[in-house]
Amino acid sequence: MARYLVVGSGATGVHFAQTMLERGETVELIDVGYSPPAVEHPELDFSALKDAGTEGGRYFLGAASEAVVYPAPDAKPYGFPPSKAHVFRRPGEFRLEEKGFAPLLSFAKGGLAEAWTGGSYELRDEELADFPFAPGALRPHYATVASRIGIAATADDLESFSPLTPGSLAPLPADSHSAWLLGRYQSRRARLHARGVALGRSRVAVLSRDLGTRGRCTELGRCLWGCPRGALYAPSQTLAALMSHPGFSYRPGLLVHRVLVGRGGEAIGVAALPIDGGGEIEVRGDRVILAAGALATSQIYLETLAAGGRAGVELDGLMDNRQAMVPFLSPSRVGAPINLASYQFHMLALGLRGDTWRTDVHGQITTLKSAAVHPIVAGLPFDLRTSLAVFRRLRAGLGVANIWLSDSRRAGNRVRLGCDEVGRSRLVLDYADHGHDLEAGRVAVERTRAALAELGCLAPKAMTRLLPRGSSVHYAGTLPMGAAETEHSTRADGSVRGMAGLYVVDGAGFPWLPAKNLTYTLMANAVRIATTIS
Amino acid sequence: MNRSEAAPLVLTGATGFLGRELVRRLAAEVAVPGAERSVTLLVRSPDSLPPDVRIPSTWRVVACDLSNQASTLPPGILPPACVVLHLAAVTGRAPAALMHRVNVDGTRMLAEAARRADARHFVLVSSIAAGYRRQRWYPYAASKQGAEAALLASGVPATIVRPTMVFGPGSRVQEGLERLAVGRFPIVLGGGNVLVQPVDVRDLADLLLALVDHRPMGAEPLEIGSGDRYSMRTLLARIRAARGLPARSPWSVPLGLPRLGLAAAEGVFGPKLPVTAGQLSAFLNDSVATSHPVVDLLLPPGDPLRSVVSAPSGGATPGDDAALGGAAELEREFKSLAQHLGTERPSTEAVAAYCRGHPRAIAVPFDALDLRLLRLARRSPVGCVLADSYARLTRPYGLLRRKLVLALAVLEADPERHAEYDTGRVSALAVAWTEVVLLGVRWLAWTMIAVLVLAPGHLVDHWNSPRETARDG
Repeated sequence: MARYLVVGSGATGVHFAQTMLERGETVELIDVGYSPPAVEHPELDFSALKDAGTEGGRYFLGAASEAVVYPAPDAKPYGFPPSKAHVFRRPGEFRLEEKGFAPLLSFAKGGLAEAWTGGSYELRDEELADFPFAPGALRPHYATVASRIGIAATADDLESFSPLTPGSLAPLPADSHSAWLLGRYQSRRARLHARGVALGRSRVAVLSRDLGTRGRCTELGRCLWGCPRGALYAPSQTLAALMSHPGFSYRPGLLVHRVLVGRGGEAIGVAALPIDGGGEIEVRGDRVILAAGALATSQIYLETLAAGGRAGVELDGLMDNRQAMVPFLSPSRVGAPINLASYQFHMLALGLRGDTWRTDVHGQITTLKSAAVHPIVAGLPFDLRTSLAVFRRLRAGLGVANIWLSDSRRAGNRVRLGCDEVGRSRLVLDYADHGHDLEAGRVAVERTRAALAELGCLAPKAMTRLLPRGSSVHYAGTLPMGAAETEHSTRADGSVRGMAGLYVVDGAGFPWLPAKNLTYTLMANAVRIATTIS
Repeated sequence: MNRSEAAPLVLTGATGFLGRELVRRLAAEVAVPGAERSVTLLVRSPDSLPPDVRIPSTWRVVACDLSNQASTLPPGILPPACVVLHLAAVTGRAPAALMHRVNVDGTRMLAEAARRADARHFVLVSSIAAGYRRQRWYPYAASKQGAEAALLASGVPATIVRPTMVFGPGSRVQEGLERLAVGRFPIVLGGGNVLVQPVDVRDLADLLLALVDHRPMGAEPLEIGSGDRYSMRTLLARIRAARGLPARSPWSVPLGLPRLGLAAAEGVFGPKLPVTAGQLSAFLNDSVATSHPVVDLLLPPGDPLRSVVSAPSGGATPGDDAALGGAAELEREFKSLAQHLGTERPSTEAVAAYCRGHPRAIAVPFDALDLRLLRLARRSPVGCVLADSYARLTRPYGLLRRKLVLALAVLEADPERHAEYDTGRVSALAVAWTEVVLLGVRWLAWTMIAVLVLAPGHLVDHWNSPRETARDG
């Protein structure tokens, strides 16, 4: 029996496990663990891969062309490719009811960060004000994570929004459009600063030099489909490395649905269902670590309470960063050549200073390089033939700013259990926006459009989109860390109040959600908890 | 797996509702290099194949009447090491003896022939009714149970599939329920509290084609239903909602006496009335599927009620389904759309990818205008321009736009043509902007012509279609 039983192989689970193993502990990791398909032609770049045929386009479109993004009122200008289908696959036994909250969930090896874009930003000290530990407590753990995963970053104006982790790797070469935008920013810096706008190189978990078995980014332009060199970090890489550790064991194919509780009310293991069918099995451990992601962790906690006779508990405080997409065109780039062989995701990041640090807005700017173009073309306001012709001429000047707003815990935005019509338990998510949420989103979009205009870009208002709650994939707040001895909360060391031996190391424990990419902080916090309790 | 290397497929019941859908899918694969497989259709009479089912010339069509009293099938009728997909069955108001002869004895005969041919897999499409608790006066359910037992007794590697209610264009079950749901005074037979979980015929067909190449599941039947389970009352309410009708709680009609009366009448006269006592069993038993990981994996996550919207909204009929795509027609259509988008000779891989993606592209409600735009787009390059322009205005998420987007997606992955879509058009800034302005002018001109040509017919359709008007309102 392992000392630590970790549920979930996402960003928090694997970094918690690695830290514990480094400290001489034993870890058993339980996971549904859907696996990715084999990587095709890892040596080829985006264009050469298409030239190679890839089985009649199956790599890009899927066996039944299921990766085609058809026009729809809420269609996004991109879709996830077949190689990422495993990331969002759900076991049949997991049931969900969404009310105002449309989440992405993952049961894959590595979890949701298998499909992330690598944005890695430290929180500032003030952004940790609601957390029950010293503001500087995360700092060394950011450095630990950075040394494990490799973060390409550079010192620039973004430091006022996010401290730079020491030992960062050199930034990746900027594509021509991003370099052009950065040049425009430098020449208009004072005016943009007066508007509370800062621009810099995005900080990404991508290698600009080789690190261990992972190769540096060689600009294959295949990031969305899954970096074949492992340059873009994914938690499954850490999981693969942990497999050879003698103190580690991995049990995929199990959907954990509750914690086993001993006679003294302490956690003694978990009950799980094999996803290939069969009855419930029990797995024991000295301490149970929930790292399944805020939503699945909440469900396990609620099912545990229900099994103990406490049905009907509701966990208030569900949070998610409101996300908006602001597509733009740089008119003077129209007709310019583009280079498809490039790091595909964002190379620039944006900070918009708010009235207080709680209302700061964070964004990342992605210029269009290699991509599936059909969703973008279908989103233009002409017939498809004209849209395609116009797109080809505008292509070198196209980009999108993705911005996030902070969120705070509120009663009524919650997670609870419900039943379907045949009495099976399911997770219910209730979320309602307040009027000021929508106004804040609108203001943030307008400020972003104004900043882009200052850079010489057009960002048509009609093309901007405030995405539904749940889109940012930053879920948090249902079992918040805090000093107060309240029910359904966790302590600074992640321990769950009222159940000895049970710990939460994922976003469920966050008491506030800043406007930042969350994954880096999640990993650092999991390392912090591991070093605290080991 | 390359389909041409797959085991030969033997299909029975090709003329039925589900069989026609399977034939359409298999026929579409013929156009896909490497995707076609050897297919044998066992049909009661080759003349019984309906004209809208196109049979590829490479397929075998063998006459085989399962109601024939002969105890064995002729040798050689099944290819060695084949897979069998057995759909053929007598349903509806047939006499119990005929149901037993075809459904039970016919299955036994076919299973025996499969065993002699060393068949790799025999997939029997049974019915959820085979598991009903209350089967009184329902010989069909009993015959399906008998068929399952006969198959398992044969020793051939087997999978038993029990679909719930199968919906889709042309579904009689769906039509019957729609009649109950959409009237001025909707009714539900019995209490309306039995649980249902329909599945769309297109999803079921996809699942079956995946299952034949899957490992045999043996005695454990796979029950097939899509998405959520809900009560019969909820189903009728959803049908009303999908048809744009105001919510109205259905009146409950007790079933006890009518069933008794029907059973008595059948005892004297045979099943001569429009409905049998047994057919009403669906209102007495839950028709829901027990979750199974193989089904979860293979069943497409389609909305089982999607055809409820499309059928009545303006003229699309099962016959139109054929107009949506035979294999050769699809290839021609794709080449027309590719030419419209600027590519003259797409590769054979692209043609295959278009055919593969087509079932999803047409999984959308469509009406007479959608079909007219599609036909216009197929007719000529000018027609394509007009249809594309008018579709952007009136059907931005409709059938033609979806086909165009599929064509574009396929072309941008085409090993021979992708560069035309992946790279921008490089030119001097002034030239590029001049071209953009000219494109805008051209778009405006074509859109005006399209409105002048197509709007009058569209308006006439709209005025003549009270249902559509009600829905829009």
